Amino acid sequence: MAKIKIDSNLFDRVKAAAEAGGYSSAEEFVVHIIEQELAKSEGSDTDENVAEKLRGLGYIE
Amino acid sequence: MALAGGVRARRVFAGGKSRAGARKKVIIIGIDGMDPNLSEHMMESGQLPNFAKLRQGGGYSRFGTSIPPQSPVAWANFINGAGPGSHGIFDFIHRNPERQVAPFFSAAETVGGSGYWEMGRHKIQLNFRPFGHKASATLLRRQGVPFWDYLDEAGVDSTFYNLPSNYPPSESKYGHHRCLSGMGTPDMLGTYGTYQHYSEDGPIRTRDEGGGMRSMLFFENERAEGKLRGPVNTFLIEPEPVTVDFVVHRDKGARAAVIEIQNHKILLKEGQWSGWFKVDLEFSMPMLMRNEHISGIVRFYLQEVEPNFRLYVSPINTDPSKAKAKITEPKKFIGEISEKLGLFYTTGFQEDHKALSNKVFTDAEFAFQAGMVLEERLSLLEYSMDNYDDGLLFFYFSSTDLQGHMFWWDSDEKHPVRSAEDAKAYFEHLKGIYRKMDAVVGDIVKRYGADATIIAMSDHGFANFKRQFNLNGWLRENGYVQPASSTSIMADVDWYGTRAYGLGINGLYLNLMGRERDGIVESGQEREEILIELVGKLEALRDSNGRRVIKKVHRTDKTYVGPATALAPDLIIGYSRDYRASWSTCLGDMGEEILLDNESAWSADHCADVSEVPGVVFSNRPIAAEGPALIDMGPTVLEEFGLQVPPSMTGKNIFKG
Repeated sequence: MAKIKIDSNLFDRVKAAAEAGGYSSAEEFVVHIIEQELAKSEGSDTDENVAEKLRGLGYIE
Repeated sequence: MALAGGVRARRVFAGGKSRAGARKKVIIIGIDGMDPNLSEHMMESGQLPNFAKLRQGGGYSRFGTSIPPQSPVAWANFINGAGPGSHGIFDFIHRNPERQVAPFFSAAETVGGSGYWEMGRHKIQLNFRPFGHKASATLLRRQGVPFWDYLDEAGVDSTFYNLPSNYPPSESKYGHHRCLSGMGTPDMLGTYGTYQHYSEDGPIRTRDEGGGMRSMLFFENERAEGKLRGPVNTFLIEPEPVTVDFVVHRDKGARAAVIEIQNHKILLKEGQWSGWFKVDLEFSMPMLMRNEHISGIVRFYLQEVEPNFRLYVSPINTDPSKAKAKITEPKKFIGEISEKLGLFYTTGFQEDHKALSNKVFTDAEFAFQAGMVLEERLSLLEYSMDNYDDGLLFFYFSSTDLQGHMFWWDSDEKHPVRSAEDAKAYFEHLKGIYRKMDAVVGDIVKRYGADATIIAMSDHGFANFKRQFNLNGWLRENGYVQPASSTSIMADVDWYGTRAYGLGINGLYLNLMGRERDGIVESGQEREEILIELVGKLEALRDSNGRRVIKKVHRTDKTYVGPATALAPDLIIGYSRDYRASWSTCLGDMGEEILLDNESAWSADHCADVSEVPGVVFSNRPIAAEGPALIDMGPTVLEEFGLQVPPSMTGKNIFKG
């Protein structure tokens, strides 16, 4: 497991955001955010992109 | 369009070894959405003489469609000679259960690459050792074996033009199979067709509206600048779209304009369409590497010069003369077609119905654009016959389906968006398409009838789309989705209190423990009880006018047979005619009301119960089977070529009683 250091002010913001977003922990929130960013740069579609594309089907609006 | 028989170029076979069924000819014309009620009515009133003749010879039947009757499912049934349990396609939209409702297009999925090497602003993927990066790829998700594999293996040629549910096209192992992929083939933006619209009253910031983009054009001294948005450059670490600049010079006096884009100068009068033009999309690459160039094609339509300048640009289609994406099998096939036919639509959905739904087009403009698509198809049909000797030829027409969705209105009731007079006129226009199909099939029977088995078939029929049902809203109202204040299964649902959800056009899923990431319903008794309860309640649902909303709810554990059911919904909702899932519920929104009128220009559909919207099958041979269906087509073709039907195919030969 790799470790990453972040500023404690930033970490406080992360904790607050995690709690507000209903995540079970700050770690879960951070991992989710990183996965989403990576998915974007890895060329696959984020769920929002996919949903947008699906709205282009005539059967969906 | 003259299709009379004449001199045809013949392919020369080198080394003519005798092959099984080499001389046999089978021609299948796929007419998407051709409806039996309308066809029978038109045959009886003498409007479809060629189809009527086939019927007289015993070569007509209603044709069983798929559960549910959506094109990707239906054509996959046709391809596999078996149902969704064999091919794994249950709807246009599937989800990833391990990522709780993450949606994707059922027939083809783009999976992310992994790893890259950073160079300044760019990342590049090096697929050789020791890097082993993987580029992102789009994979065909249809499972099982397509029936043409058996033809291929036996040395029987087969060529498919615009086959749905086959993108990226599956490989030919023995070299006797060719395919131009149809429905499901994306445009250059990776979507199902995104038009770009520019107008003086457009939004300052480009606005996305499902299926298109709107932008503003600002004129100074009768000159305006615009940007065409291309695909995202994923070679950049922070991906941005590639753009192509263009300039518009307006001449109000002449009611015309000149569009300058790259090395083209296009003069258009108001109301005029341009031909196809190539656009070079340049992807910046890291230093030391040459920029990547991909060619797309577009066409322009100058809708209005004044008082409000409006310019429509078609979706950027893959350039068939220089296709980078693999839209044919073999890859070079598209180039061969283009050498003869030039440039043409290469996306899966070619008629721009979104432009009509979003009010960019009028009914007449849509009908005209759809007419151009049909003209291109007819040229391609001519090409297909010029390059056909024997074996199987499959050719697909989309017109009856996509024009059907916009123009079918089989009712005296108020049309969602059109006056009664216009509704009647445009339904007449659709009947004109049916008459055209009759002429096409008649011509093929004339040319080949003596030598070939000819089949014309559709994947489903049609019905008015009058009322829409918010399945997810109903589930929430009945306590299956929590909390009561939630608005979308994609956003604010509490999975730990939610037992079922709707996704796609006909699918209902249980939030099953062990399958869904946040599942709570236990397999066994709890699952069984909820399913029985849901089937009962949904089938009992009545509209305010007393009509049953849902004709039948199908349990997939009792309906689908085969190894490919992992992603199947638990229930398929079979709506009554006139009813369909609401626009909002398909991607998980709850909506406000449970039942409401459809108010879209997309006023007819076929995503109802399998029994409500069968298709048609015609042949120049008598159809002996009782109740033929889509799954029977593959076995029928194999037996026509003297081949055995493998046990994985559950269909039967339609020519045998």
